[in-house]
Amino acid sequence: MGKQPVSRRQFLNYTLTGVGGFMAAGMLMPMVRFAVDPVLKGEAAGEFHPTQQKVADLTDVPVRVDFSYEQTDAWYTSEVTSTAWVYKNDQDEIVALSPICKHLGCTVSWEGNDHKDRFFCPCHNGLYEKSGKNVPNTPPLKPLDVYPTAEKDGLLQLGKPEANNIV
Amino acid sequence: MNWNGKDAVLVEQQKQYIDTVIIPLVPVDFGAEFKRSAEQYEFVGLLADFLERQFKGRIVVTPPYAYVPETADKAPLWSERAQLAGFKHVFFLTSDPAWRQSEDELQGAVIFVPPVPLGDMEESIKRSLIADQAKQLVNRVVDKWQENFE
Repeated sequence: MGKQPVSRRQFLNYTLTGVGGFMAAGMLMPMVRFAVDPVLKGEAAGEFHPTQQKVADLTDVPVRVDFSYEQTDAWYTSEVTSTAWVYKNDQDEIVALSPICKHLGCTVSWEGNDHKDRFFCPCHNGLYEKSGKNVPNTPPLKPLDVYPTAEKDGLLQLGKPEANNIV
Repeated sequence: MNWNGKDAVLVEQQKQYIDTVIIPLVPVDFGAEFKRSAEQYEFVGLLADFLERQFKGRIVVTPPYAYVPETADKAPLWSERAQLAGFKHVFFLTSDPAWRQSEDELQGAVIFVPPVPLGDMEESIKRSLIADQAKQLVNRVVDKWQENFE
C-alpha cells in the first residue's frame, strides 16, 4: 500500500539503461539495414517493366510495344526506351519478341518490306518466322530473344530478354 | 555501330556487312549563332543515335564533322577517306541548309532535316518528336541502299 520509493540509484539505473538502449538501437539499425541491403536488391533485379499495352487488346497480329524505364549504370541514371513485338499464339499465350536482329543488332519489323508473315531486318535482308525462328539462308543464325511477360491491372509487363529456345 | 572501341572491333571483323557511314555535319559558331549551332548539334546528334539503333548492323556513326565557315569545304575529305577504306555508302546528316545542293561536292548522300529547336522541351515529347522525324529518315536510308544496289 505504501509508496514504493525509488531510490536515487534505481532511478539512475533505469534512465541510463533506457537512454543507452535508444543510442545502441540508433547505431545498430543502420548497420543491420546496410547488411541486409544486398538481399533486398536481389529481389529488384528480376523486375518487370510496365508498358501501356492492354493485354485484352492483343491479337494474333504482332504489335509494336514501346516502353521506357530508368536504368542505373553505376552513378549514372538514364532513361532507356525498349521495344517488343507482342502477339498471342495459337495456345492463347502472350509472346513478346525482342526486335534486335541476332545478326548484327539492327531493329527488325513485322512484315517489313512486304515480307508476308515474317519479321524483316532491313540491314541485310534477314528474316524470322512469326515465332521468332530465323529463316535459313538469311544472315541471322539464332532466333529472336523473348521477353518474359506478366500482367498487372490489365496492362502488359515485360522483363529482361532471354535467349529463345525454340528449335 | 557507335564510334567506340567495342564496336570498332566488330566493324573490322564484319566489314562486308557494315558498309555504311553516317557523318553528322554541324556548324560551330561562338557569336550570334551560338545557340542555333548548339541546337543543331543536339538535334542532329539525337537523330544519329536513333538511326544507329535502327541500323546498328550496317551503319557506323562517326563523330560529327564540326566546321566554322572557312573549314566547311574540307568535309568531302571525310567521305573520300571513308570510301578509300572500303565503305560503300556515305551519308551526311545535317540541319544546315547550306548543304542541301551539295551531294556532288560531298561525294555522298545528303540527308537534310529541317532543324527543330528542342529548347527545354519535356523529355517524353522530345523523344516522340525525334522518333517521328527519324522514321521518315529510315525509309530514305533504305531507299538509298536499294538505289545503289541496282
